[in-house]
Amino acid sequence: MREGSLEAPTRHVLDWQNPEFSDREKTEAEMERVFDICHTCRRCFNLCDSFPRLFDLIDNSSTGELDAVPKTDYKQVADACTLCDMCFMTKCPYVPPHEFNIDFPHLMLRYRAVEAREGRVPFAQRELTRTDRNGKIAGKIAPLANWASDRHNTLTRPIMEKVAGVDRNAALPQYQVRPIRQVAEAEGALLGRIRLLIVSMVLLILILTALCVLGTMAALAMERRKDVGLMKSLGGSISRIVGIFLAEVGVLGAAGGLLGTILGAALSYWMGLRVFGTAIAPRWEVFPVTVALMILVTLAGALPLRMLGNVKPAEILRGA
Amino acid sequence: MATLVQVENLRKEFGNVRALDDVSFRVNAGEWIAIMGPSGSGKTTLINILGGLDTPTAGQAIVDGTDVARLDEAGLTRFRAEKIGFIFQQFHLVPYLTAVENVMLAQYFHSTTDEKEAQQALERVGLGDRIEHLPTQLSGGEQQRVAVARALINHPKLILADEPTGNLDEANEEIVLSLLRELHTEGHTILMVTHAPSIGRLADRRIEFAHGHLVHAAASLKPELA
Repeated sequence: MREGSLEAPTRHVLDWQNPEFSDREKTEAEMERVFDICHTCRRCFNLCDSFPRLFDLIDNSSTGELDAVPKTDYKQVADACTLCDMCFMTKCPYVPPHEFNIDFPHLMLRYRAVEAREGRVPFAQRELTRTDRNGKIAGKIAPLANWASDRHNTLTRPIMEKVAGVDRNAALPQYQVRPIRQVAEAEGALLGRIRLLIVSMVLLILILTALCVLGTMAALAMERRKDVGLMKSLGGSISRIVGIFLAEVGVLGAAGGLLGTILGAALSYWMGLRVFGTAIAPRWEVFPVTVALMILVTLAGALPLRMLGNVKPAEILRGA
Repeated sequence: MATLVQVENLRKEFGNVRALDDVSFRVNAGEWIAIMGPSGSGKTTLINILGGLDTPTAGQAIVDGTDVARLDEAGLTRFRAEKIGFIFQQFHLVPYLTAVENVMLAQYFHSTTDEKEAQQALERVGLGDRIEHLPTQLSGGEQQRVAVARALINHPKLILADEPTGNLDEANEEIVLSLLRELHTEGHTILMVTHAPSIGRLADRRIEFAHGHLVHAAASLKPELA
């Protein structure tokens, strides 16, 4: 097994339903194994405070090794972990698939699970995690805060100026209480409407394009009636003559479609950058749809070619 | 002498107008016939029927054993491709195709194209140096020579020329006529519509029309074809 973690690490799923997962003895045994490996490597010393704490505990112990560090001190290491995952993703050379199988953040999470199961989580922390309830309570206070921070409030603003140094004429932002789900739904509805608008515009453009091609082909058929009459006099069957025209239209349509796709992709990329500040990646599933629509429009445009069947060479070629 | 064209009691009506009325004549293989007469006498109508561009109201028009009056649309198309070479007063070249492509167009409708053969046909009418020219880059006489090369490319049984020199100046008229003369010497059968007596005299025989009637089928000036 190669050392150094040059490939992306493999992340194993937490075995949280296994009773052993939140067993203190098993967890501390695993921590001892992992901490000893960390102690011999120390590559992570400049990451979060977990590691300096761990290494200080070891260095200040009587033997200078992990076996002299009491298990009760492991809590300091686990508490300092912010679960940012940086050690696992970027630093540790022994992440899976390496056989050492080290996932430091998951191990810290497991220690907290042990703590939670044993009811050792402090009251304040427990209450802080109840985000739904806390959000609702904070929402009730928002009108009061807005009343107090309003510029025209002659009662609170002078006090704020005295106590916090905020000028009484400075405008302060208002709190708006809206559940995040409501915001997301509103944006979703807007996006849906924009999508509908774009789809109907595309349909309109397609119809207009088909009409344009139809008109052009009708004009072309009229313009080339003489040539068609001549081709008939040379013994050209109507299917072969229409075949020639269709080939011409097909090549033009294909070239136009290809050019349009490239220009359209470039334009959407540019517009994405300018308008939305983010690049729009071309979606390849759009390409076959574009080609199919192009062929459809071309074929619709080829309908006027049926007029060529009625061309009478004797009439077309007569004198003039 | 084998009969190539046999016209019997041919009639063509456009509404109430009889363009051709009870026309009968024969043309032998290898003959050069001038069809003459004033405008509206039915010359072009006859050429169109013989070339399979139009169908008669009554009567027979047999070309190389085929009665064109009995052919359907598809049959007429094949007939035109295989048996007939047209030369028009207006040349009627396709303007966006080069000289050699115009010739190859006739090959394409007949069977398959052969660029080398098409080039040889153009060399034959003296346009070896104009092969890649567009019709607009050619003089009238040169355009008509391209049309002659096109008419010949599929080795037709019958060449139908409708006023082939009508749009040409004297010098070019002479070039095209000498080409027709050459073709005649080689044994091609040519039916040529003209109203100029000086040109009509070049042919073996003259068939004259007036008001849809055949008024005079002059005996051949050449005794051996009589």
